[in-house]
Amino acid sequence: MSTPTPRPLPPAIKIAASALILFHLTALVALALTAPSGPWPTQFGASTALPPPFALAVNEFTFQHYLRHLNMTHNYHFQSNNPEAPAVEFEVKLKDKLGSVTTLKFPDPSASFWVRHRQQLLAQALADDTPVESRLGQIVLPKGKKAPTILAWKGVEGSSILRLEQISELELTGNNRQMMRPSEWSLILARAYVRHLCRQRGADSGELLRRHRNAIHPTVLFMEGPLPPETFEERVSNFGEVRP
Amino acid sequence: MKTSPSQGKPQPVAKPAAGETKTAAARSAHGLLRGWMDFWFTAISPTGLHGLRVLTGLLLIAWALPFADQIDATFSLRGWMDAEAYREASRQVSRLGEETLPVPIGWSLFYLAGDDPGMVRVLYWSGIGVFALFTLGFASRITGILSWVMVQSLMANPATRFEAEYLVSILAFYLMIGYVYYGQWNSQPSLAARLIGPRDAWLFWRGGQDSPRLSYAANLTIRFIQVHFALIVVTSAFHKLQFGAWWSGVAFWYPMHAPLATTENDIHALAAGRDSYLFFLSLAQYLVLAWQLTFPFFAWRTGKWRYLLLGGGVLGWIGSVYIYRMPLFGPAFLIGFLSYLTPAEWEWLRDRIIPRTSATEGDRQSRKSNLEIRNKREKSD
Repeated sequence: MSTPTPRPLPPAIKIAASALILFHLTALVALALTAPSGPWPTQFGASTALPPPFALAVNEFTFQHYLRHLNMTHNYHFQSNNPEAPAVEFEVKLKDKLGSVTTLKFPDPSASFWVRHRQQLLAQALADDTPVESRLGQIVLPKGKKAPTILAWKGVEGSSILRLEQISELELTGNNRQMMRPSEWSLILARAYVRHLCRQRGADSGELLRRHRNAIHPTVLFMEGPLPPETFEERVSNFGEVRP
Repeated sequence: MKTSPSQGKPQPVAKPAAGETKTAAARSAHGLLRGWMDFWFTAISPTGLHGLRVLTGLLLIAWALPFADQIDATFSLRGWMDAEAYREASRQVSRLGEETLPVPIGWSLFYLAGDDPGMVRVLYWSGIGVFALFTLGFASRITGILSWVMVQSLMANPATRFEAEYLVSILAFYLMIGYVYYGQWNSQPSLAARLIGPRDAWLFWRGGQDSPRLSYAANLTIRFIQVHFALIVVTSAFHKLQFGAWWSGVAFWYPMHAPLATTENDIHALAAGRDSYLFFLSLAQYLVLAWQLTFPFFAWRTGKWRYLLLGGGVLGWIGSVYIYRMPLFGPAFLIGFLSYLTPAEWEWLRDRIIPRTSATEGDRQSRKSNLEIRNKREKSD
């Protein structure tokens, strides 16, 4: 008994398949090349580099009309490649109708490894803060018109917890202090998760508090004596109350 | 010793005539074209394709099953990402553009179930069933397509999406393509086999009177996985080089000393042996970078290079769990790396895992001669 010799493929099939293979591989390479890179040092300060125009042009077509339908939308720039990401956990304080509070911590130590890992991914997505651009010049407003506001983290006197507040752009004018705000996506995720817990546990409302610490730099190994307090500084940010 | 008069003097380099240059260019173009055709369109034994299917199927089950007690939370529109959150995301896309979302919102069968928890559970368990049937090779044409559809549906939730799931999705996609075409060309299948898949894809198929058919689809699938994984490994290496910590050799320091778990005492305890600690940490990290950057140069080589390929894959799996606490990356990459094994290596591996006790002497002779022919062909390639 011997292995049958395969029937050769007709040239037309080979040519058509080659064209499809080339198209597919070109789409994948263009996707990888159009990932934002940097920030790199430039004469205008740190900035992300623009993707190469040829790859951008190809990707604009192939991403929309091909790759997104196959769900091949990842550009292989994995988040874990960035080693200095902050460590994040969060807790949710659930209130019932009588006002009693239950606090749940995430990642939940009692959950399975796989579920805990997903909770960790969610926590990491909540820490995607972006800096608020401060105004250099003066804002002149028409009479009777209020300055626009922006949602940002703001410290409250007597508390170490940052809260989300609508801050007038007037406050940002000439302000040297760098203010941060949560990404729109992290707000959506935080509200959705609190709603889910409220539904699951029959709570009336919930508040999500994010705890995060910046990465510890290895230079601490070379420091003599006690480490600077900011090494282990923990920042707590309150995403506000949510009702289902 | 006599020397020719011209020795030691610079020799004029003979310029090729215009016709010769043209011929050389045509030869290299022809060689390139032939290389391309051989690479993509050679019929091979399907053992590698079946092996990758079984391993991917097991991985799909291991990936999806741990969420059995979190089905509503993870997959329904009343879970972590509820219907209201999808509406908010949609408003954000129309207001700020899709690029403000970390992942595009895709499609999922679970969206059809709405907020009916019973339907979500039925879909989830159907998915597990499909993965199991695909692993076994039952109706592989149908279950291959359904497996890919279920993978897309299970990974659709943007609130719980993990990057390693894209690797699983890639494996499922190419295997789907492979099994749609497997057995369609080199056999005369019945209508049923043409529609649902050939019987030799069944895990426990032992051949009977038929001998294994060489398959173009098996080669095409494996080549796609090989090229795609090479692209991923190299792209990820270049991305790493955008961070100073990878250049300074301390990239592993950060995940190994998570800020919320490390205390001042831990740091002081490490400080005594910091020089040797950082030496080995940076050496290990640079070896990982070198492995990734040179990956395409050894992945297709046989012989002892296999230790580098598969040893790297196993160490990467251990590292991704021990250092990064990340499941799924390790096994998904290892399956991708196994795709570089040649058909002869796959058959060698299979014969060690499943000894063919029932094989006749004729089968054994036939297998031996097939292996010899393939080994010769691979060596000549």
